[in-house]
Amino acid sequence: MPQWAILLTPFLYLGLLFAIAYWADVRARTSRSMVNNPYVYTLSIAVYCTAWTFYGSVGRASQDGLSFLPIYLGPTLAAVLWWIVLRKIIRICKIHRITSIADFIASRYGKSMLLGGLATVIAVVGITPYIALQLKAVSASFDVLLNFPEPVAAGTGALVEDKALWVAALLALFAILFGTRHVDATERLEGMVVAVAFESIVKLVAFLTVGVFVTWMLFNGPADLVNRVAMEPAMREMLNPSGLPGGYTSWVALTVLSMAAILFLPRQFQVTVVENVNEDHLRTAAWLFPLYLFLINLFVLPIAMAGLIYFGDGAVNPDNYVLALPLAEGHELLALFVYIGGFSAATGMVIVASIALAIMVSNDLVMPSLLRLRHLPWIERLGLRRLIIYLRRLILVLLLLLGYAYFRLTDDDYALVSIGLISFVAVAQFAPPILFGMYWKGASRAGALVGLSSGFLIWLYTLFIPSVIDPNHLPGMSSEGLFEGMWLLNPHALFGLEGLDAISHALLWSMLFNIGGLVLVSLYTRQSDMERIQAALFVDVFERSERDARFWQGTTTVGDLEELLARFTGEAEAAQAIRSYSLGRGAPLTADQEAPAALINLAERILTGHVGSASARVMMSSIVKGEALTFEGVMEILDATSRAIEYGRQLEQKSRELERATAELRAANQRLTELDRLKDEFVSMVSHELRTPLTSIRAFGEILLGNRDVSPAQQQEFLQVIVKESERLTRLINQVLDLSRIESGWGDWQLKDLDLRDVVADAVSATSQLFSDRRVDLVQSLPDTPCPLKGDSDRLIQLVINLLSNAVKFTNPERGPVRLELLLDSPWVELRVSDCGPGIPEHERQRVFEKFHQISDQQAGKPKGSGLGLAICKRIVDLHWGRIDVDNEPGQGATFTVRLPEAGGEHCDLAGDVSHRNRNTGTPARLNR
Amino acid sequence: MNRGQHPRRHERLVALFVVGCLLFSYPLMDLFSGDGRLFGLPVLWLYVFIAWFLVIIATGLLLRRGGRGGGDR
Repeated sequence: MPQWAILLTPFLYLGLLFAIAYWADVRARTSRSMVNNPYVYTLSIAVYCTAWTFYGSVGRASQDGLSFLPIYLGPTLAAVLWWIVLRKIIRICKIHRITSIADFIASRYGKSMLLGGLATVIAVVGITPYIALQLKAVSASFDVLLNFPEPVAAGTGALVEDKALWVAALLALFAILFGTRHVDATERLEGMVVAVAFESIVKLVAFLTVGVFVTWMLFNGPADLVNRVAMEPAMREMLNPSGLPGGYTSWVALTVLSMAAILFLPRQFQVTVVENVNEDHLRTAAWLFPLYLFLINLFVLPIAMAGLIYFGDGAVNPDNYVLALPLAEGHELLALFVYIGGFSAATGMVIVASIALAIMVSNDLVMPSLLRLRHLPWIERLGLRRLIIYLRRLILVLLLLLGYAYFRLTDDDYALVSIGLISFVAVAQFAPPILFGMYWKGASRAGALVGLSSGFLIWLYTLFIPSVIDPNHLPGMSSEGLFEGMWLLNPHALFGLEGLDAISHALLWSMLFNIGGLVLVSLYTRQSDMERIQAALFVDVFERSERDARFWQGTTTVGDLEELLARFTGEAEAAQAIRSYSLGRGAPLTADQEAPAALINLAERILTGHVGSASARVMMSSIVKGEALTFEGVMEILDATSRAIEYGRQLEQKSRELERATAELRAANQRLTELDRLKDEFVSMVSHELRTPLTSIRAFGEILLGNRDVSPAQQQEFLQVIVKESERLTRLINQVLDLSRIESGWGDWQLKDLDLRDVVADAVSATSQLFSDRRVDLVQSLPDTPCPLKGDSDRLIQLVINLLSNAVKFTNPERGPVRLELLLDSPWVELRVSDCGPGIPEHERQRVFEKFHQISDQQAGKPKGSGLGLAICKRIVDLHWGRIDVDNEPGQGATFTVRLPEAGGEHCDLAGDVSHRNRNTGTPARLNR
Repeated sequence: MNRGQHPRRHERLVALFVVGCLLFSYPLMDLFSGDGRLFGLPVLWLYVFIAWFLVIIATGLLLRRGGRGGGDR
């Protein structure tokens, strides 16, 4: 492949990256955000996999097998707890507008400038070698690509010819363009996130491709590789025949170390916390990110084995196996793709880490010191807003230059993994102050200061300084040589502690001092009010609604506040913030009005996003007159707020319960009213019906009493009327009594097996007189087989009698007979009684079964019945689990159809409509309706 | 006081974390270190990768949205 193509490719790739970031930024501005998506979020977290993963893992694996793995197992285990721990960090950062680890620590411990500065220094010193490592990887892999198979020492050329410098410059440009556009560090860097997510895809695909190529195309699968390695005694070591390399101490130390790293590396904090759009994305990321790690590590061991077999020992640096294998096979395009994969792994890390560090340095180191210089008029002339942006850009360039310088100065045969691990131990120092600070209110500023600084000093002494003085004495090697004879102060065997590898050793001692210092000093110091407030806010972040927290007792005017904001955010944004606040409040604010406490608070938070919490605090206290609230004061307000919220919640619940009870009561009342109305109706109907015959009896009685000259014939006639009406009255009262008896349910009824044909026969003989009186014929058609039925014989006879007498009452004798049909339609018995009367109009059909309902438009002025007969029928049928219907064609006469369940099985088995009425047919239940 | 949170989710996550820590440390891993091979691969390698995969799956299952008992707020 021509050299210019190889030279050009990484720069073309960077161009593509610029384009993607630009496109994502444009989309974000047109509110079609790409980052509000758990998959982009997860891929951006995969910035964890750097050149170290891409090249270094294979190098490490080729020496001692599995020992590269804890770096990925740790994050997997940590991800299990993300939902608990990381979600809390994210919530805290969103509420307090925290944008970096240093700011988190500073803010938690009473907005302490000193702690923020210390954390920043640790981060910069700790991460610079890591950035250098990436540049080294870019440069070394490039040399391999260009010069293979001749081994070349990296970075020996002239400065101008060194690609690492150019790459660093381009990355600085990228970071400046996409990382420092806004002053407010809480603004999302969408372009950066999307570009990093894209790089994560590239490096994964590249690594998987080369893995598949090496494992199955160059060799015959993993088993073949294992077999071949096992045959060479020199390589057998990597198969770990005798347990874990370095023992379990090293294994566990690396696991713990990487758990801390995944949370507290500045670049991880940037992508997982600051760039998090939605806490819910953690749900996906917590398993998808470990899966990403799993995939990218699948082929590390096969490639390491293949490299060992292919190149033997020593010819090629194991860190470069990934690249050297396809090159040696002559697959230049594949090698170029792999190179781009490694390049993307390195650049992604450099971009995010440098942006995160730049924000940290500007907010927690430079701004606080600048603000201390009270009389610097030129700062104000330049405009603070622009100053901050340029400051961050300058810091970015300086950071990358620092990384590059470290790379030039120390370019020896460093193992990639070893440099990275030094950074990990530095970053792990953040774990105690952050984790203790999140779960223990007692952790104090002094404790954090002592713990963090002693941990950092031990790191410097045991890892960093030895690595600078004597690069050959890197972790993994024994403690002989340079430091021999320094007994107690030997950096690799501090206080005489021997037998550990350098990383475990440094981790153990630094953590011991860090945690011990933090806990012990915290137990013996008093926290200031500010510390106690912040501690309470951080630890109970899920319990309180601290958006209402007020820390300022003093006063300032709205105008002063806006002016202060405008110095950092620009006038338009400051005015906008005040406006949206007063909109939410409902009343506009004027410039000379006293600013409400909540607004002061909001302003401080906005400033925190721009200059860090410590500086924001200083800026606010410069314009707010009077004292900040005491711890008790703030807590009182907070508790009052949360109490109010709690009361509100209880009240809401109470009122919901009340509403439900009211609805129930209303329904019950409605039912009662309805029943009452029915009762009244019934009483008035009964009395009305009783009054009619009574009135005529009384009238004729009075005539007979008062008029002596009534003729005997007339007397006879009147007395007949009186007797007839009395009979009618008796009948009526009997029926009312019947009805009330039936209404009360089964009561004294007797449930027996009956044949409906017998019932019909009894009823027919009882009504035969009626039929012959009115000269109406009755035509019966009964089946030959019995119609078995369970029921009360007297009631059923009454049912048939009522139907027959009803029919005979309304039928027209000239037009035809009354028909009675009985048929067995298993599982039902059907009884039909049809007449040849006027029929029942459609709208009356349901109402005929109501009590006292009489069809109004009958020809005869006087109703023929009591209006109770059919109501009784319906009740009887209901109680026998049946149904009664009427249908007819008007003018043809009415047909009443009664369907009763056939006896045999249990009644409740018969049909849906019936079954729910009475579940235990053995003992007839009272049916309440 | 995470209202609406599955009451046991946090406890289950912590339990999974502890199980994960045990899977990748002394007594359990030592059971598999040795010269044995399965499918031509060292058992320790197989063990670590399989256990790793299982932890990932378990995490995913525990964090399923609205799994038994409803979602988090």
